[in-house]
Amino acid sequence: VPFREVILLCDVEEMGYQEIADTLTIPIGTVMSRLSRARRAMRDLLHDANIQSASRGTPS
Amino acid sequence: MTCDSVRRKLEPYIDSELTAGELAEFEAHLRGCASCAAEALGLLQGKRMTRAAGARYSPTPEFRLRMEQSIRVKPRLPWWTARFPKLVTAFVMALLLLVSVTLWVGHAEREQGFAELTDLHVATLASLNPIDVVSTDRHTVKPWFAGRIPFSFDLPELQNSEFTLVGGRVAYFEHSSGAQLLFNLRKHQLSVFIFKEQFGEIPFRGGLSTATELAFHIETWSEGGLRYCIVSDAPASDVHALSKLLRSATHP
Repeated sequence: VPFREVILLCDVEEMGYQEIADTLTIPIGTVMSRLSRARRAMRDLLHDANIQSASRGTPS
Repeated sequence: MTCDSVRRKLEPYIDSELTAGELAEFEAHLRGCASCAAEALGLLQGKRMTRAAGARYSPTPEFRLRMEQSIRVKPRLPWWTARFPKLVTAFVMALLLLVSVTLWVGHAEREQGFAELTDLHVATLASLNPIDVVSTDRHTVKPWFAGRIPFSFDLPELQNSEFTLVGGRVAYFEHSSGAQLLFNLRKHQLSVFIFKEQFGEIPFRGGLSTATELAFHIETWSEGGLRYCIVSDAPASDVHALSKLLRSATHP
């Protein structure tokens, strides 16, 4: 949930770091670190999903 | 700008959080560095993709209403209350304990002080020479104390009252010397102790307060840097009358 909310507020709602910090009542540094970790986690998830779909697609 | 410092600022860059100065420097580096530019592009595409995915799904009105209500009702507690509930409880308990111990110690010291003054009063009455200066005249008693105690005090005019001044002596209480005045009221005797108010030495605090110690009535108050305390077997109302009389002497 902490990852989802920063991604949602930043990428979908297009809020600034300070705005997110005020909304969630957390320090701006925490917003930045959460955002970075959230994006990395999302990238890893998408990467794994890609590998799985690719391996299912290729005939053995 | 090095590649390392650029990589650290990639996210603020794609989120448009860089200052104008930083942005110019950053873009200059990107123009010359293919790997940093590729990294930035990847992140930017990720962000756009997320935004597009977010826009594709919109919550139903019922869901939105439910979320809004849950946000409104739930007060947001500081993060540490959620993370360390035990710590908060322990802190509150420790605070309560500290306050009650402080109050209890203050109360115990006060009780002990009253007991000591009561002993002084009883010892004075039991003594063969209860007083050092025997006089009913306040203009004799007050000057007698000059040089014997480290302060001076005012005595009221007693002519129109039931109280008579018997005399006074130097008393010692909590390592400091003070005045003990003896008054008569009918057959009762009342001791008035006057000491310098010293923090941490005289165990009484604050304004007028009363107590009862072994059936002796006690009334104490603070006035002009001095701590007054009356101890007597006379009724509490008489003790209070003398206290009023003495307070009127300092505030005529």
